[in-house]
Amino acid sequence: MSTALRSPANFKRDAAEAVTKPSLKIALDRTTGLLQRRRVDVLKAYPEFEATREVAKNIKDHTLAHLDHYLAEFEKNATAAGAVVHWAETPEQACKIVIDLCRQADAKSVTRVKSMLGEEIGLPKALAAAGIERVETDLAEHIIQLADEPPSHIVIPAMHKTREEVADLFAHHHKEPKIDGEVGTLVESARGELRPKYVAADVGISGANFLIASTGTVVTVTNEGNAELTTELPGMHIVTAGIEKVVPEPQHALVLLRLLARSALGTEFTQYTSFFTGPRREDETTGPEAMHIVLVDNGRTQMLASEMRPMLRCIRCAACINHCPVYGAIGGHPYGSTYPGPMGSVLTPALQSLEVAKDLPHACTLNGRCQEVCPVKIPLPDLIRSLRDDTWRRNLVPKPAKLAVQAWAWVAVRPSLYRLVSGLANYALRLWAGPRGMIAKLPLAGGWTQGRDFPRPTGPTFMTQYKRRQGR
Amino acid sequence: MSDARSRIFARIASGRGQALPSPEAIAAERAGLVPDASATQPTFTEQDTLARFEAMATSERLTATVAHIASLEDVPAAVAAYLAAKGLPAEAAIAPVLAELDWSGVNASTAITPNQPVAVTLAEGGVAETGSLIFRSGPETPMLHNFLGLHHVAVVRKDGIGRYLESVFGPDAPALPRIMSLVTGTSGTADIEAVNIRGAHGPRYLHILMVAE
Repeated sequence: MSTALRSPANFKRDAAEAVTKPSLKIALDRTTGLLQRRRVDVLKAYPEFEATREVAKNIKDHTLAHLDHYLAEFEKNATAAGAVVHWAETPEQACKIVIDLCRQADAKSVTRVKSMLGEEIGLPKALAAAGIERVETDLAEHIIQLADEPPSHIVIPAMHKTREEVADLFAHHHKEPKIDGEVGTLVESARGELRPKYVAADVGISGANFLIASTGTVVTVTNEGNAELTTELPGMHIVTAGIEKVVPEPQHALVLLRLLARSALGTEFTQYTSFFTGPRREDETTGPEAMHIVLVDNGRTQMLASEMRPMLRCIRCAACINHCPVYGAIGGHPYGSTYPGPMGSVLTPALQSLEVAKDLPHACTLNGRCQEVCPVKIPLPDLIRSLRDDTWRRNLVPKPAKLAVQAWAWVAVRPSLYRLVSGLANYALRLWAGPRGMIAKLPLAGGWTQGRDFPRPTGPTFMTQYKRRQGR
Repeated sequence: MSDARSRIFARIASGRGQALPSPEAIAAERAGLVPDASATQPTFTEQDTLARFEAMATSERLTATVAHIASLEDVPAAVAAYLAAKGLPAEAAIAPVLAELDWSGVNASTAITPNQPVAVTLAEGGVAETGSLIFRSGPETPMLHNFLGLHHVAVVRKDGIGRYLESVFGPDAPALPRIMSLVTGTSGTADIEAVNIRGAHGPRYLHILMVAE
């Protein structure tokens, strides 16, 4: 699946294709299963989780309610530390600022730390268009850069790749590939390939997990140590961050950090948690001479003023994605945007448009696991339901589906007719299923039965049985 | 002040639908956001802060090793012992802050190379909650020394180890340097099939020298 053809508008087609790929299913099962088990284990040793979620939610809600206040405070303090703060309303503006800065630094090669905001604004493509070599330093981003594919997960972007597929890529692309079937050897191969590129880069680009208003600090977390190598060696450090990343003080970032790694990877803390405050200081001989921070809106101020506001609490841990049965069946690519799974089904309509992303909120079983695991208590099922409602009111639901729902509604308010119709349908389904008990093909429900069988009803309808047992 | 900035701020203000409260009112609400930090801190089974730090740092996940020494003067000998135990040549890059020590047993230099086998640095302190070391950038403590080595030997004074993350930002803590890094174990990745592997980009081995004085 190449980057160019991606769009949430193709969700149905791409999801149908994804469910037929056995290697994808293997990769998703191995990874999401492991992450779910690890999260459960780490939370057993953290009974404070529930109390901390509530504090975290309050921190984010307070900051969002006074977002202009905190952005101004962040700007003032970052500027005082010697950084330059830039503002971008759109992805195009943000990319232009970054490219202009790279040109100003006469950059031929840039290293980049994985940042979903960078993906969201299309920075990889913009750098390519400007003729600047881009070196992804996060291992997973390195893998998908070699494969020329978009990320399929926000924390583990190469989740869709098995170790065998990674080995093939490294064998083809690395100068001195090391491959022996072990994951550890593949990591060694990437370390050797990337080390000289850190040193050669002219600009290092990172995202931000948090922005601290009271100190003007950018916080990044990685497990690989690539953020520090990326930003410390080149002469210029550029940060791209969404405006919702700001928190008032360091102590508030600490509360969110306690939730982030536990929710994302089932570990207490990330290996490298770094606080960047301004460029190289007068007494130092190393470190970037310039630090630029590009703050991006891209639809966030509209979300702030809408029902979708709680989504801006998101700290991008991906717990909702790891627990989503729809994601578990199709992976991240069919969502057609940077953000997959439940959080993507809410964010993508807000960041792009509901017209183009109308299928995403409908690809949800409303099982509610995403909300249960969300560390900042985002009511994802409610937001998804609200978006479904919008697709209905804005006439974005396909005609046959709309007619079917209207017909159902007409029958549903006429109880005796409803009982008659559902009783007949129940009887017909049991007859159609025959002794096998599963229905492989069903008229008018081809969309359902193409990917799975429809179960035979286990007995007559509830009302029939209720009547038969005389209300007992 | 760019147009983009003023339009973003205008949209935030109009979305709120009411005036921004006074700075005092915001500050009052902000002061109450974390009514009790201890409610968010994990309780440990270890009563002792140093015991927790050591248990976390040497856990299966963080994979560090620990040795105890009496004073900073013992650092070169402890480094030599580590190198000998690992079968490595007696060579290391050292942070300038450690250059005053007597390194006669080890070929030590403050210069660092991209493929540095061993680097020795001084941490400002640590955090028992997470098993983290605290490194601050500065002329005597360049940050790259903590990241480029395959083996990282980190020196930390026991009295610099606090119980919880909040201790890093306590009222007595100095202002933030250009970079402050909390280093928690060795460089790792779970990017292929979520399998944990050490030595992704940064150090594969972390050896912590805990100084008693």
